Amino acid sequence: MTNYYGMEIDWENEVHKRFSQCQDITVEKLGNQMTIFFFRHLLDYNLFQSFVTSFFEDADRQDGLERLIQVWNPITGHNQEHILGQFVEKVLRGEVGGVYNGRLYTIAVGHSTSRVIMPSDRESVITGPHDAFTEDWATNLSLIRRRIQSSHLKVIKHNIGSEYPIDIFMLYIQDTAEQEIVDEAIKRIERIQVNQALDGNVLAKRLDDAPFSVFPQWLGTERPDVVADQLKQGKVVIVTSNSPTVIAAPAHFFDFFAVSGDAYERWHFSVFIRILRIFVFILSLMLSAFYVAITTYHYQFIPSPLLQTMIQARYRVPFSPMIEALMIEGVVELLREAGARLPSKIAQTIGIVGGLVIGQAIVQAGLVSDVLIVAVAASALSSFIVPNYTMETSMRLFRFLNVILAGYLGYFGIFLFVTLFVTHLCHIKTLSKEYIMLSRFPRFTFLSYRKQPRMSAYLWNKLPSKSKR
Amino acid sequence: MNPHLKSFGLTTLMFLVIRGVTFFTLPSLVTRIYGTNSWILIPAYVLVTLGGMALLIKGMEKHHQQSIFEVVHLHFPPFIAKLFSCLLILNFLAVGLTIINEYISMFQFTVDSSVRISRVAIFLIIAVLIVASHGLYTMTKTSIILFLISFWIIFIEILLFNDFSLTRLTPFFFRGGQFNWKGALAITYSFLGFEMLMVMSPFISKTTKAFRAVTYSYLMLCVYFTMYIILSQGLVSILQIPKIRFITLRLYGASRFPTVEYITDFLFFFFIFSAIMSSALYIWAANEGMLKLVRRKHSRTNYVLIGAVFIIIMALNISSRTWQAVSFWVGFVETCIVVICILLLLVLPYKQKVSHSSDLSANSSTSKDPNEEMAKEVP
Repeated sequence: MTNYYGMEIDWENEVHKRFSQCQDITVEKLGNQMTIFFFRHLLDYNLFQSFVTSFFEDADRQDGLERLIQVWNPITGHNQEHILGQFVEKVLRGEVGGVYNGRLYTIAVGHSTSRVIMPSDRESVITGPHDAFTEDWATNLSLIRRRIQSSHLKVIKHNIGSEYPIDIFMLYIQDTAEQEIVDEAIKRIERIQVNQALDGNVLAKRLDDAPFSVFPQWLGTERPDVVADQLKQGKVVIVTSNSPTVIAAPAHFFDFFAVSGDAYERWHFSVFIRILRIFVFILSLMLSAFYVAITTYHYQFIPSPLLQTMIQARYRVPFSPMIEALMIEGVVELLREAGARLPSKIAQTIGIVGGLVIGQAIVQAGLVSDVLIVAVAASALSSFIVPNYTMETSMRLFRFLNVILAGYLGYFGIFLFVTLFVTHLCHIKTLSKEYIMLSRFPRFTFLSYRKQPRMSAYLWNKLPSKSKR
Repeated sequence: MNPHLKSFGLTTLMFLVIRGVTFFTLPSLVTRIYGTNSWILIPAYVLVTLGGMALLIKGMEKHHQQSIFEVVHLHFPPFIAKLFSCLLILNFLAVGLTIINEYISMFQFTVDSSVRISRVAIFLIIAVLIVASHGLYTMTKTSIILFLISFWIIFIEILLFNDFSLTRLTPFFFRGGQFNWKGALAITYSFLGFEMLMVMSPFISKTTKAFRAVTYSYLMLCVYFTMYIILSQGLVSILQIPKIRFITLRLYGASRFPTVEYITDFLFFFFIFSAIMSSALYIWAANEGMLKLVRRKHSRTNYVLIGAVFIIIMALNISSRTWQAVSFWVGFVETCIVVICILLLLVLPYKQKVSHSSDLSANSSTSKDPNEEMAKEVP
């Protein structure tokens, strides 16, 4: 008990008071002069022990303590509350806190064991790196730093917790990211104050330009190679502590249809698959609705042989095509949700039971026609090809809306839907930048600006040498 | 703040706006008025329109891209300026409404005669107002995508149309037509749309060559209209064409697809994009005028009011003959307005806008339309 800016405070007692009824805290004495406080599960205890022991190996207790304290970080502050607050915060973050000679010290001694780096279940790829982010921000940052070994990669730490610290880290590559984007992101982050631990996806919702829009405006990913690619494109990335989801913006509409694995394939296939994804996105939105519109109002569209088959399939069904489609779409959603929540082995069984047994039974019971099963199954299958889960969920909602409009208004409803859908897409901004840009389409298709064919360059090379001069 | 409009966006927007819905009736109208091989007059109409547009753009340049509402308010006493603005606003709204009505009438004709116009119109009016309320920049971006979605239809007529006969075209020009000024004027209305530049000018990028961009739209439309008239005159006899109101739909009916049976109504709905964009642009222009008239600027309230009035009018039991008459007179007033506005822009000297800081601060606190912010920056 000595001075701290002239204050006479029993720090040990104060710290004890702060951690009263925190039975997971460990309090140990080093000699009689130093008391240390730490949470064993927040740090590497073995490392800590060997670290402390090393100071006492060739010295007596007092000398060892003196040497030890020299490498600790003293806590400074302008009043008692401030000093104690800092000390408690650091101990809660996994550092070891010590009270020695009336002063407070802390030292970081490694992290507690966290989940090991594993492949992402959400974004699996066949070729390419398989490592994915974990809940530990330090691991996540190291995964990014390993890919971008440059001092231009800047990291800004920000505490957005209003009651207790919640750290987020904003990353960008200096001179690659537009300063306007960086400033805008910082401005938005500074506005956020939360009092609960949050995931990257939740943070993205708080940073959205259009919070009421169904479309995601920040690209959430668990893959470090995707993040590295986004950073190289001049985007801003946010790593949230305790979340494996890292978010990037400005996210363009086409980014949600890109998979990092595409870059590792032969370009022919990559180009094909990316165009297919866009086509399939449209198909998934439209197929069920078209079925409803055609069977309700525009059956003249269907060639006669197919019409006969459809009539035979539908004559037992007592519901209108719209109700029929909504029912089966609902069943598909139930199966999908059940599959997502259950353990993987049971989920497979549910998929088989749902797909075969319920599908077959529902047709035999005369509740829906088998042609609709084909349409909805194709539509559901198409939606799985969209790589981004958030975008896929948005699409699922729109499918229901489109079916209802098609059921009431036929083609007219579908085309109204298309117009409003496109208008909405064109209106959204992401970090005050355009969400959909047609100029991004070649970059999306050909994976980079360099790889896209340049007609002008081609023609230039074909020109006779005279005209070149 | 939204960026200013660029060339390609302007081209696609104007293409959709000018195409509107009148081109469904254009082949019948042209054949009835001018007779055989009257398709040759379409380029002439386009040239006249381009001449008008060139003068308009000259006038706009003279006034440093001020909108017609600004020019009128700067040069005339408030009472006259407001009266003239009201006339423009009413005309723009009337054009927007007649486009909606025309499309719904065709919808009834194409799909199902039991369709209740007033009920379907509500959906279309809501869609148009939603699009218009998103502002000019979003409309332009949307038009690019809608243009790409719907442009391929022209190739259906080229590739899958088999019932064309050269003998029906005849070697004679302008035989069998019943010329009248009313009909000739009605054809002129099909080429209107460029007058929207008077309102859009502050939102067009200074680097954008507006004349060139809109000329591309007109050239595409020239090809489009000419092709449809040639195909119509080669499909149906000269005596029958005037009796068929929506001859373009008949053309689609005559196109044979290898896998699907009857695509007329499917293709017809692709033109809803033109109807919506066209109507939305006129309503947006009317709203811009309304914002100039009032001190407190509530863009959304204006759109809600416009929607309510439109729905009430559509619910009234108005015969299609009356609507046709209304359409004609609305077109006539529009043509007159175009001529007057071009003259005003050419005759009136340039006057710089006096900025009222108090006005601007009031605007920023009440208005949520991003285009307004953009307009404030324009000299």
